[in-house]
Amino acid sequence: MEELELLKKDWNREELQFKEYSENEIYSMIKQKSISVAKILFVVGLIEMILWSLYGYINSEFPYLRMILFFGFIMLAVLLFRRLKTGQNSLSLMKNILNLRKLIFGYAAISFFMVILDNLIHFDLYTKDFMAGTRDGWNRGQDIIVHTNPESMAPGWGNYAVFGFIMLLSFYIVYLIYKRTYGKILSDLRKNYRELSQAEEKLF
Amino acid sequence: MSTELEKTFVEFFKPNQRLIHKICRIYTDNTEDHQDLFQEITVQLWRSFPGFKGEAKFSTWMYKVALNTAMTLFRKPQKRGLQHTDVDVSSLKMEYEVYEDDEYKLKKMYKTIYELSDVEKALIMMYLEDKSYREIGEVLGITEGNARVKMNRAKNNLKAKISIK
Repeated sequence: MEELELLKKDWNREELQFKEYSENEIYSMIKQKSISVAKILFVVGLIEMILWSLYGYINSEFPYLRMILFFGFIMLAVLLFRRLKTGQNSLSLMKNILNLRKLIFGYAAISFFMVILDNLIHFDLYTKDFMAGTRDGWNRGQDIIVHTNPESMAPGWGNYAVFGFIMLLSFYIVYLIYKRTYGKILSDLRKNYRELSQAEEKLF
Repeated sequence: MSTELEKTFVEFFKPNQRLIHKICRIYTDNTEDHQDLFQEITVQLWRSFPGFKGEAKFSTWMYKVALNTAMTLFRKPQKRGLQHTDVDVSSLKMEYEVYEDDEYKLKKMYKTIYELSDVEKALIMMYLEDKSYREIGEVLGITEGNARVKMNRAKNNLKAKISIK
């Protein structure tokens, strides 16, 4: 393999010039903050957990269960994040990062499932709420402000369909946010992990 | 004011900078990314330094942390307009015929290495550094035998990619 030998020779050339950082430059470098992928995942994950919990709290659905879940998951996430050590081997490091992500994703999935379940159970009530809210919003700006009682609404098929469509659209937007926040980072990491973790291969 | 630990770290780190530069050279294709990765590796090394027990050589430990950072913890978004598909192949071929010398070959090889997967880049890098299969396995978390197989594949893949260019 002539090319590789040539490459090796060039690689080990002593005269290859790189910038040599001074002691002061190294000191200031280690005082700077890390921008690592794990940190980004961790911070975004925490924000995600907080937002989902806030959503649950505002809607006051299962608040106690949600708070227990929230603190349980946060503690596990912090524990997993602290276990990420760059000194371990690549396969374990990748596995730990993917586990951290799995945990955060699990939390989001549970929250998402609760939201869907809640919307299905109370579909009729929420459609009425939605109609009353739309009517009040429409009438805003007029002299007399009247709050419509959702119970006085009598939704037809059209109203159910519109509310259902808006609900599905919101779910899709949440999905898109996930794809943009984690998409590329995680797919690259998974690819690396798969490449390394393939079962023992035979030479022949 | 710097602490004792900081001083020790800098003492260990300073003579080994070249190794980090080499890793940055394989994993990035421009000066800005090179500097960013260098800094990220330095920060990660510093964060992990309290865990360095001194059982392995500093350079070996450094190698593991640096490669892990490049492979798992550092991602730069692909810049638009600088993707490889944008290169005009016909002009490259002409150039290839005229300047088929070592320097050109090397340039082409480094460019091809940059196009390999993160894991293959690490393997080629360790090949160039003459690391043993045992060490490679240790860094990546795979067995010695598997390291040998993966290394052969990476080398063959690199060779194939070079030959079709």
